[in-house]
Parts: sequence; structure tokens; C-alpha cells
Amino acid sequence: MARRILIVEDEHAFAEVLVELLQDEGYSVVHVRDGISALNMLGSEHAPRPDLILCDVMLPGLRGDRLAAEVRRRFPRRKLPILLMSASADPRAALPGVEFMSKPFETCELLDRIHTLLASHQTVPAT
Amino acid sequence: MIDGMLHDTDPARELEATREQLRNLIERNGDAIVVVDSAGVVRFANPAASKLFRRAPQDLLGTPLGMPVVAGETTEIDILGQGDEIGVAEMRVVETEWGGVRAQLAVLRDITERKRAEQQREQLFKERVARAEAEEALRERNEFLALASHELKTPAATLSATAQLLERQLERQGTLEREQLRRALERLREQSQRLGRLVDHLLDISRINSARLTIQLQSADLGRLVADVVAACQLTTSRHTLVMHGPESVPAVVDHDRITQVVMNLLDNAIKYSPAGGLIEVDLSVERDDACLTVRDHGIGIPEDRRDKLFERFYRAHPDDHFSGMGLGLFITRHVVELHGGSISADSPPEGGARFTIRLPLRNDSAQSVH
Repeated sequence: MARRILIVEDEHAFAEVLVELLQDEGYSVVHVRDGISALNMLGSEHAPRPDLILCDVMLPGLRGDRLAAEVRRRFPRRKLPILLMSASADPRAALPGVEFMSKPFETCELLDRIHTLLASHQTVPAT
Repeated sequence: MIDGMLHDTDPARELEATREQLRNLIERNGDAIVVVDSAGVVRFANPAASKLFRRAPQDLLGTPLGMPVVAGETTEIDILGQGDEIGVAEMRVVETEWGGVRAQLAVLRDITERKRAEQQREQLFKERVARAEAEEALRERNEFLALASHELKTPAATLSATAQLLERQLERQGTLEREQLRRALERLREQSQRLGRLVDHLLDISRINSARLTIQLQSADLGRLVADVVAACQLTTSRHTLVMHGPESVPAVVDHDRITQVVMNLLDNAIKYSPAGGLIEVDLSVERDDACLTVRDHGIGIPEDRRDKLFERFYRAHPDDHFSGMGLGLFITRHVVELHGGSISADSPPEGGARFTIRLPLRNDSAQSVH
């Protein structure tokens, strides 16, 4: 079964490329534009549960690094890997299982990082 | 009798003692004491006056003091200081009697050191203010550079990722599907244009900073210009409906490209700050000798306390909401409008959203370059 990636990115054009890139690689991809929508999706009983979050830092409303902290706080047992992306080199939160990539990046590097994170993190069902 | 003076039972000796004490008070006084008659001639000067004016007592007495001495006034006068320096003395003048006629009693105190200390304090204060301003300017510049870098990298990231995606697809499939290619090309075009606009803004800021931003006035049709920009901006959004009201033709003398930029900036803002979409109304009208253009959106509006700074450089009304932008668009817009002799204002109508109003003179004296 395809691993599922949740993309949180407000830049529509960039998100489009990521969706196409990851789908081409066989991932199942869901895209939301902001952190609140991501939290709602993660907390929903019916929404598909992602295996990894690929998230921009500079999001409207809830910043990506705050979203990562909130995910760790709300869903501590899921150990969901999170890969933050930003065009500014100032990741504020250094949390376990949260990694950072500077934009622009090589797509092969992104795919490698996603592959490694998914391989090293075993997601467990939420309580 | 003056309090504190010695008392003697012999009136003659007491008088002599009092005279001696008064002489002591005057001669040893650190303040210069001068009595000047109604003709401005020095009638009395104590040793401190001789020292202050750098003149021997006999040179002072009977000669004009050389400066106006007005009873009731306190003035500062230049004196010879140490070496060739000019010092400052404070002079207080009261009326007195000398030899039975009216005269002026001037008491002068050398305040050169006090003045110097004051000047040093002032200089120190000015330096502190200048340092604080320089630090603020540096902080502002660094923040702007970080923001500009982020803004430039964002479309650059999309351009780079799109090109890499195409390469991967081409490598994997051996060819590209028409729809894949069309989407990618459209994205490349949009993001290149976005990058170009950001660079244009940076160049404009550089021109404004060095007073090199100019406008080339020429005959133009504002009605058509605004309609063209509205149509172009409508193509960039499916969530908004852009509607224009006003005459089809409004002849004016403006810089066509710069006013196009102004209208585009306002519409870009209206689209950006109404993220939920909705109606954006553009009204063009002619009021006497001015064209009046309003752009009205129904978005998040402008908080009242932020309206004053809206047209300042680097200012963003919603910095924490991570709307893209460098805070330059409205600053450049205001500058271009003012170069045309016009004005720009912003308000948030009670029913929400934002409204920008521009007034532009329809005609300028002659078609020329304006700085």
C-alpha cells in the first residue's frame, strides 16, 4: 500500500509540483494550505492518516514549526516524521523526528530524505 | 549691618572692620564684579573681573566695557578662554548707585567648563540617538534582506522544482505528455513573471533611494489602461471576480507603464489580502481635473492603527500572517502617484475589506520627464 504524505504548503504553484513529484514516485499525497487544516485532518476519525508530513515553515496563521510542535503535543504516540521546508534558514523548533530543508532544493535530495525518514520512523496508531 | 560680621564696641574700628570684610568679599570673590556708569564706562572692577577680561585693573577702570549692560538681564558673553579658545561667561546685571549716580552692577561668572560639559553631554546624547538610529536602520535592513531573500527564493524554488520534475518525467517516460508540459510551462511563466516583478520592486526601491525614479508623461487612455490591467489580473485568480465600473475612455497625461504598475500593485494586494476570494471592485471616475480610481476588496481589511504606516517602505500591515510580499508595493505606488502630482489613501469600510483611492491629475503642464 502506498505511503501517504501530507503536504502543508500555502504556495499553490510549489505545492502542485510537490504533489506531482511525489505521486510520480508512488506516494499517496494529500495537500492542505495551512496548519489549522492540517491539525483538523490529523485529528479527524475519517480523514486518511499520513505517514509523513512535508510542511512549509512560513504558513499563514500557524507557522510550520509551531504546527510540528503541536502535532507532537497532540499526537505524542504517532511519532509522525515531519520534514519542514523554508526559504528562510531559521527553523525555530528542533524536535525529535522533525527535520529541515532549505528551499530551493534538489528534488532527488527531497525524495531521499522522505525515503530515509519513512524507513526510520515506524508510525503507530493513535490512541 | 551684615549678619555674620564681627562686632566691635568702637564704631570707628567696627566700620573699618566691616570695610575690610566687604573688601575681602569683593576682592576674593571668584565672580567678576563690575560697576558700569550710564555711559558704559567701568567705574569699578574686582580682581576676578581683571582676570576674566585679561586686562589689568588700571586698563579696565575708566574705559568702556565694550558690551551692552542692561539691568535685569542675564546674558552669555564670549570671553577669552585658555590659550586661543573662546570661553563663555554668564552676566547678571542689576541697577545700583555709584558715587551718588545710577549705575549698573554686573556680576560675571566664567561658565566655559559648564558649557563644555553641557556640549559634551549634548554630543553624547546625539551620538547615542545616531547610534540607535543606525542600529534600527541596520535591523530594518537585515529584516528586509531576510524577507527579500525569502520572497525571491519562493518562486525560484518553484522554478527549480518544476524544471527538475520535467527532467525526471522525461527521463522516466522518454517523452512528455502534452498536459504535463502545458502545466509546467504555465507554472514556469507565472513564477518567472513573479520573480521579475520582485526584482523590479527592488530596482525601484534602489531608484527611489537615490532619487532616480522618473516618470515619462505621455498621452494615455486611463479607462483602457485600467480595463487592461483588470483583465490581466482576472486571469491570475479563479477565486475572485474583478469588476470595473467607469467610462471606457478617460484621456490623461500619465506615465503609462508606471500607472499600469500602480493599478497592478493595488489589484495584487486586493487579491492577496482577500484569501477567501470574492468580489473586487474597481471604480474609475473623473472629478473636475482629476481621475479618481478606487480598488475595493472584501478581504481581511486594514487595522485602523496600521493605516498611517501603510505607504511606508518595508511596512506590511499583516506581518505575522505570512502573506507573501516585501512591503514595497504600496511604498512604490505612493511614490509613483506623487510623482504624477496625485495622492493615495486607504480605508476599511465598515462592512469589511479594504479600499484604496488614488487621485491623479488628468493633465500635467507638459509631457516631460519628472523626478
